[in-house]
Amino acid sequence: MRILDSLYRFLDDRLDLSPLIEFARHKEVPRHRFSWAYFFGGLTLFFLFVQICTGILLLLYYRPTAEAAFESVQFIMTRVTFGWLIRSIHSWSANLMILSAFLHMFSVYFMKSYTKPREMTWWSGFVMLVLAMGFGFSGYLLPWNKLAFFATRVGTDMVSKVPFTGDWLLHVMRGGDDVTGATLTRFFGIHVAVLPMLLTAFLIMHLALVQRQGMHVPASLKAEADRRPAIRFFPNFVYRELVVWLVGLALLAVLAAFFPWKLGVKADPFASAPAGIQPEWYFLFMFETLKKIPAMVFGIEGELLGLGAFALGGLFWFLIPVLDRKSQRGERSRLFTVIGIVVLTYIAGTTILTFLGVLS
Amino acid sequence: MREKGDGFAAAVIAIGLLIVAPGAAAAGGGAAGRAKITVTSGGTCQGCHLGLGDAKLHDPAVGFNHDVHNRPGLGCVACHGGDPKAEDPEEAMSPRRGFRGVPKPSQIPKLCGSCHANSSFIKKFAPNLPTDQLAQYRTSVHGKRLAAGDTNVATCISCHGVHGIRAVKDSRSSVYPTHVVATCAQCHANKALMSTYGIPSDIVEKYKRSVHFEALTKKNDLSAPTCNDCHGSHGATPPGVSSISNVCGTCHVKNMDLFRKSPHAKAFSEIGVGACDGCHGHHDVTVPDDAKIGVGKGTFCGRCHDASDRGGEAASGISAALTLATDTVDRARTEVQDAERKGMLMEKAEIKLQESHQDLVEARTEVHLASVWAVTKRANGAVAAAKAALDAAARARKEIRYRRHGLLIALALILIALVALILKIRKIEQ
Amino acid sequence: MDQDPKNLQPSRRSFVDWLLGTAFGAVVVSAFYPVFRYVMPPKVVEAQTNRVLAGKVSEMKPNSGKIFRFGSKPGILIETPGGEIRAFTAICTHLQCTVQYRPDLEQIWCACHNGHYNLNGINVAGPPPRPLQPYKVAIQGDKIWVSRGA
Repeated sequence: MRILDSLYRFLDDRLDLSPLIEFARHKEVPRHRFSWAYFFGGLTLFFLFVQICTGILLLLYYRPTAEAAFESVQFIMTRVTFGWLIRSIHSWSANLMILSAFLHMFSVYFMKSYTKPREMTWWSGFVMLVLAMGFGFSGYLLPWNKLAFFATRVGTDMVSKVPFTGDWLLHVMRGGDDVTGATLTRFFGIHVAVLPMLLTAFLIMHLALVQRQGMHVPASLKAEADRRPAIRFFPNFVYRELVVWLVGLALLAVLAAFFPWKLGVKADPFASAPAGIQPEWYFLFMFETLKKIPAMVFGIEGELLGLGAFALGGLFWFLIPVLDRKSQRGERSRLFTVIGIVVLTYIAGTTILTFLGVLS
Repeated sequence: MREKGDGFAAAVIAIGLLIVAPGAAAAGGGAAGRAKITVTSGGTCQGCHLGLGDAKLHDPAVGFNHDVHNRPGLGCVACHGGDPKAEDPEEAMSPRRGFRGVPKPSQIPKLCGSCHANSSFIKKFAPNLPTDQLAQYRTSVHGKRLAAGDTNVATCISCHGVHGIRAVKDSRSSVYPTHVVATCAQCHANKALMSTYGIPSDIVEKYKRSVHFEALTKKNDLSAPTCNDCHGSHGATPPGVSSISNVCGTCHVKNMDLFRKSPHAKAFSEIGVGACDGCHGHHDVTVPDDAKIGVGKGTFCGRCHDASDRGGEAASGISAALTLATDTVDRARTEVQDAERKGMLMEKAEIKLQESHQDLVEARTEVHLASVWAVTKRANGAVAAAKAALDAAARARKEIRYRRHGLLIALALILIALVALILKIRKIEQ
Repeated sequence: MDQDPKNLQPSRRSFVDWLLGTAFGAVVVSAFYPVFRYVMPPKVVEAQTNRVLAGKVSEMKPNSGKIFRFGSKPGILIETPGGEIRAFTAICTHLQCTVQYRPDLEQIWCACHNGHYNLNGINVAGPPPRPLQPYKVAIQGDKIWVSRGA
């Protein structure tokens, strides 16, 4: 203990830590009916932490070439002690991270927490969700198995629909005209260097904004939050967050042990596409929608129309803090609540129905 | 011969004219102007016939466009005679110019044979084409009956078609391996026609149930036998009881060798039972399973042997050895697949499964020797390899158990930590 | 039993702290144990790739063959009477038996149903419906490397 004390004094002398300690001591989290929603951001952060750790571990044995990628993942799964666990956790945690990020986003949305002064927090969060999906898309290809290979082929092909620059974009994205070993190397670089760097920058910004601005309380819950004593951030809220993290860890362990992530068969670029190519579940709502749009709508190519609609939808979602004027004025904004419910129902509905095999 | 030579010269000239001055030929042909003609060896015959309204006269001219015989030096005249450069129909189709009209069925083999049995002539067009078809045809049941005056039987054109004959290797040809059944079925599945000869008409249906038809059509294995592979093409004749093992043995060499060394070879021929078809049947040869061996009901062996005789004992012994091997291999495969489903990679077990599969296939082949010892030796090999795979599956199960135990410990620790946390929270918030 | 509740308080609190500390320590250890084991290099230190060491040139003599393992599947390495080294999958295309080299026939041969393949892996006699899939052979000094995709 004495060592810790002197270490603290050493650091405090040089860094002046007391204001930070003081800040942490006074930081509070409001207590109301929907306080539980404040935990999803932290849970997403936990899964991200797991992703970084397991990702670094996978790098010890993974080889990003068309010749060796599949074999090296197979090697990790069979020969390396606990390799199966590390890889399964990496795959499961990726999915749970995106799920938890979605829950976090919708809870923020319905509490209208994006209003002034928190617009930038919403925007950075939006960017991070896109980055997370980029992580998922690029990481899906890395084991170089048949399903991933063809899903990537279909997924990247969408880019070619972009007007004017589509073919060029496709060429750049795939590192050639088709999905090959060159694409794998490219995706690997994006997955382990480009995206982590961007994500770190936005994450720092996001967390700094949350600390600086404190937790938002929706107008409808103000009275309740004022009436009830707030939760002290340290240690009370931290302990609660730890409970959530431990539950997340337990969930990961169960999933990894009982449903180890499948490896499938090695990709063969010359084989014909297998039946039932599907992207990861968080792309399903877009994938199924694009499949359902007729080939031609009002003389415009259906896929282009669909992609355009999703691009506009994304832009709309991004600009919510600006568009939702009523919430900005502190009034109730029914319209945007309804929009949120529609979007949530659409995404969840299509995804679940596809899993049940109703849509296909 | 002289007349034919003239026909050729005429055809060559006609083609020359068509190539040099197609416009002139079209204008002169009158009717030809209405239909678009490609430059062919058909000469003015095709020119006119394409313009005729009667399908019987029009369609041959269309079909001939993709006929394998549609090439310089051949043409309508090669079979029908006449003069393909004469523009007046009367003139072109006058007997004076060698016009033969429609050949009668009885004339067809000889007509086709006039080129196809002439090796010095065929050499000029297709040096590798055999020239024994006519000779073979004459030995066939079809050929013999035709010679006896029966015009219902198949001649060259019944199978190869006419005015649109394609090369045998052309996948659109009526005699391409996958189309042969349908071609033979035109007559051989015709109950009324077949009954006049006293031969069954269900053989096509039977063949379609066979493993050979499945291999040919579903697996697209063109080496799988269709009608002509056993019966011959031009010399189509049913193989006799004594020669059937030679026929099957052209592909199933090992089975034939073993059978010939077996006590059955002599016994079967003595009682007049065909070597292969005695057990397997002929047109509807299906994949035999282990249940066909033994002495019970529905077994092959049980047709002659019963449990008490020596052969019956051997059959029971073979059956027992095969059943044990099959069951063990199946069990091993199920368990290995189960372990794979649970996420284990079973590379070594797969190798053992492959070994056991090999031994099992060989054991089943040894059945043809009718020796308990030979079958058991192979079957034991299969059992040994399958047991090694089962061991690997058991190890995989143990590993899965180990993982689950590890998981339980981790979960217990997490649970304790959770309880401790909740206690702590309650404590500090009291 | 008659203890003052105030005296009991610190001990209860310290028990909770002790439990919390120990349990968290245990969770961390149980999380790091697999990580530690994972980082330790495994017995086979490298992943097998598309390339396998099928044999040595010095082991082979003209008109001979040997079986090697390519992943979980057998492959066959042959040296033709002319001294050329070739490799094929050793799985017969008829009923998936393992083929072998027959020096007397100068052919690849399947024992199960007497299937014959020539030295290019083409099925020439017996029931096999398709040729054996060839592999690419690369010779590096004495080592014969075989890879997929010839």
